Amino acid sequence: MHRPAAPSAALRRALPAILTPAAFLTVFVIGWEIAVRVLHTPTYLVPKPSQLPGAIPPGVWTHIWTTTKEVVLGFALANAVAFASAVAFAQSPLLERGLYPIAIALKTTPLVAIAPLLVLWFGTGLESKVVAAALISFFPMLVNTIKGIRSIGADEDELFVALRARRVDRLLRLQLPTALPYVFAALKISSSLAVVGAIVGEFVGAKAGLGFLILQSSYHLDSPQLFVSIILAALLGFALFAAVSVVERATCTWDRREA
Amino acid sequence: MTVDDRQAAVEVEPLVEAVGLVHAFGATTVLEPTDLAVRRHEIVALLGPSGCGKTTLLRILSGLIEPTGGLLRRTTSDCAFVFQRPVLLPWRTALDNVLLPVQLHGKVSAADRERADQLLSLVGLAGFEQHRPAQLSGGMQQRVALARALIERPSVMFLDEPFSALDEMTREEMNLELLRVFQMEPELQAAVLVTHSIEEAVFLADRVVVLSGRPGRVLDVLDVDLPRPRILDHKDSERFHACIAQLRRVLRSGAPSLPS
Repeated sequence: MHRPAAPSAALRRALPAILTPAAFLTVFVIGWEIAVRVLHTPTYLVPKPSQLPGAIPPGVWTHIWTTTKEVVLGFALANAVAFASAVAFAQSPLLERGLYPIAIALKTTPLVAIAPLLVLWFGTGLESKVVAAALISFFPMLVNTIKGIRSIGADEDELFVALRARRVDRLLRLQLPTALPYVFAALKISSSLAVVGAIVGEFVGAKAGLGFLILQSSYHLDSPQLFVSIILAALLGFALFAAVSVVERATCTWDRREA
Repeated sequence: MTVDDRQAAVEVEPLVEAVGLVHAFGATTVLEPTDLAVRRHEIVALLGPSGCGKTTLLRILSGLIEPTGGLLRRTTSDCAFVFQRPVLLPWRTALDNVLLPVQLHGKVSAADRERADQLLSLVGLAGFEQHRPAQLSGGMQQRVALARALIERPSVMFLDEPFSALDEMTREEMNLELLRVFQMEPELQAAVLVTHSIEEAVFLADRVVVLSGRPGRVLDVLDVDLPRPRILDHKDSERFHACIAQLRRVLRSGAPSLPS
């Protein structure tokens, strides 16, 4: 049922998954181009797709690299700390009772409201964006991992009791594998959230990055460049999501539910 | 409570003995004073309606939970438990599921692997060692669970309605499987099985302990004097049907609320 198929068969199945959306996207872009030309929409409102390649600003790689660094660092930091916290909560009900409600309360504070404070504390450089990306990526992992560990069935729990398993075995051989699909679901959610965090951080104060580029383009009413920046930001989130999916497919081989 | 090994050497001593066992969840009594002895070379079936505390009794006998009162003596600590569901870890192969108890108690040796292989063959799963639980049918999963219970050579096996989730034909097959395992494994000296199937109880057990509805208490103990090894033909024998009829009478008279 879940056996890995031969590469050629896997490719044959994967190909439509890539080609079908690509075909729809192509149709959409062509339709967009035609619509703008026919309706004579002013460029500052909606540029033509054909204008976009020419609107890629020089030094775009610096901006991409800046934001990528912020996103990846914030994403990694947040998920590592959140995962460790969730595991600690699972071992100690006292910790969970005391800290989990506080964590949930913090979660409801909008990032946009905290962002100016972050720039004040950490400056306009890399650090404030990493913290912003981390703050917004933190909670999906915390909540999901706790949920994953709690999803362990009463029977599974009792099996480990009957076998007199040590705590560390219970953690490594029951709790973490059970939580793994939930962990990957969290990583997927926060892969796009981390981009949001970094860009919000850049909006408040930055010298480079895709968020900086978006802000610059909008100040100058440079819509083609604005569109390019937006698309690049989206692609960054998509790339991170895809990377997580690849690792998930290699790791959670027993769980083929689509998250 | 376990008695020391000196006494355990005495062949006639029961492997598990309960005297005046009682259990309550909060204010609810689930088990009234119960006496029960599990002797060597026998299979005991606990039979009763749903919610009669037979599972609780099994859990107490196996040491999974502490009784709230009474005396429990076990002359062996080598117990294994088989749940109603297979309770396999989905990320492990059949072989690795069987090896789980060994892994939790130390390092897995080559001999353990070999034994796991043999046990999977014994329960008819040769060739499925590397399959994940999701790739196995319900009956096959329960076979893996049976092999897992046997891996550490227990002397007593406790089974909580292990085949109740299976269809009738698979269930009959698994009953034979269990009897075969009981014969083939020299260390396995006794089994206690919870069931709500009268037929299954009679077919498998040497003694059937009938429990009343909640709170549970022992209504009757029936000695099933069908010869061993049991074969399916026994199910057509007069003795088999007499046992079933008697158990049904006891269940009906003891628990009048039971639908007939």
